[in-house]
Amino acid sequence: MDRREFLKVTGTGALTLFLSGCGINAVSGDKKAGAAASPEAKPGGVSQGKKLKIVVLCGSPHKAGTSALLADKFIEGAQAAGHEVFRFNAAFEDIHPCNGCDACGMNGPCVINDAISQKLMQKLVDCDMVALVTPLYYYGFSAQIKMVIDRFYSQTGAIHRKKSMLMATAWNSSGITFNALQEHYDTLVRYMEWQDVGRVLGYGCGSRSAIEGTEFPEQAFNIGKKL
Amino acid sequence: MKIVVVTGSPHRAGTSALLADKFIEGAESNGHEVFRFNAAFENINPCRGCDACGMNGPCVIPDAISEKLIQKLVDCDMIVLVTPLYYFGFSAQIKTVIDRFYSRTGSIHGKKSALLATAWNNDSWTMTALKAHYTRLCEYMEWRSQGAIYATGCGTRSMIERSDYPQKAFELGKSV
Repeated sequence: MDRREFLKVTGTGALTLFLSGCGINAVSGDKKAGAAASPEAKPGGVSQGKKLKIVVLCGSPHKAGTSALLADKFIEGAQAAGHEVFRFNAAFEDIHPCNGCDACGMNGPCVINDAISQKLMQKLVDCDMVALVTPLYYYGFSAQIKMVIDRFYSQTGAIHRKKSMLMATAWNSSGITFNALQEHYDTLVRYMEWQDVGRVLGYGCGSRSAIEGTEFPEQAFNIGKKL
Repeated sequence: MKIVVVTGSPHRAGTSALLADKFIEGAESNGHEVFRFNAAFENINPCRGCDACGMNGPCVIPDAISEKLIQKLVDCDMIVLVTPLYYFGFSAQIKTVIDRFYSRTGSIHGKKSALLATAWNNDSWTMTALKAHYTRLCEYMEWRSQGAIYATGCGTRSMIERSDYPQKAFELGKSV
């Protein structure tokens, strides 16, 4: 991250922090601000005091990598606030891509008998919020988490209208690093009629030590804590 | 030219497969050599992020990507990505291949490229995210895009057969 980028990112964070009076800001980089200045920024604003069921979908093949750390911190915050979390680590489960067979008719059981069908799908249907957590692989979601997203298909209507958030980490730190991923997430939110409650975009986080020296883990914690 | 066509659809004779067929027909009629890799019908696995390759070496995963595809990608002049639009992005099948570029990413830089994509939906924003992704990939990979076909409103084979997208794919193949 060069200095200009650093100032821009931290400046956005600090300004939002100042304006909203709390720490639920999302780093927006040079693109859409996401939930950075949304009214949900006050503690309890998202959950309205309700205990949320949250599904955290992780896409990294690293068990203790950079995006896993963001997931850990978000979960820590959300659990501290009394919310219930189910975590699904796509890279460590037996999962398969959508066959496009349409046996489900977009509203029925999937013919693929894997961990997505057995462990995850009902949790997605029943939850209040979906958190997508991915390393940036070739400027998009990792194949592992995309496999899960494509499988939303069998219950897509029932997974509509949840709350959602995005957490991602990348080695690169230029301003355009997350543009395509954000465009993708924004489109998903639009199509799924999700309510975006925030995003943490970890620029320049190529290693665990790189991310541990940043404010991104705390941002993830705070979004969870103040839902 | 040596052209590698990577398809991402689980439908053998679906909409994006038709665009691939037509593109290949055009390219072969022009004397180019085409290698087609149908990701959904091969034994492939996602990148584990182990970095054993160091971005420039053999991948530890012994699957069809390592055994059949990677060397073709390294040796080719042009890469054509063919995908159905799944949740507004590349299908997981083709994304699995793209993520595996990693082990030879430097050698896959600087190629010519094209994108052929089909979608059921036909809104102004249907292809926005995929366009952004392809554009970003081209910038990063220093690919010189020869064209992209974003076939919206093509949910079935009969829908796309009534459109002019197959002809466009043929012409794109013919023009490279």
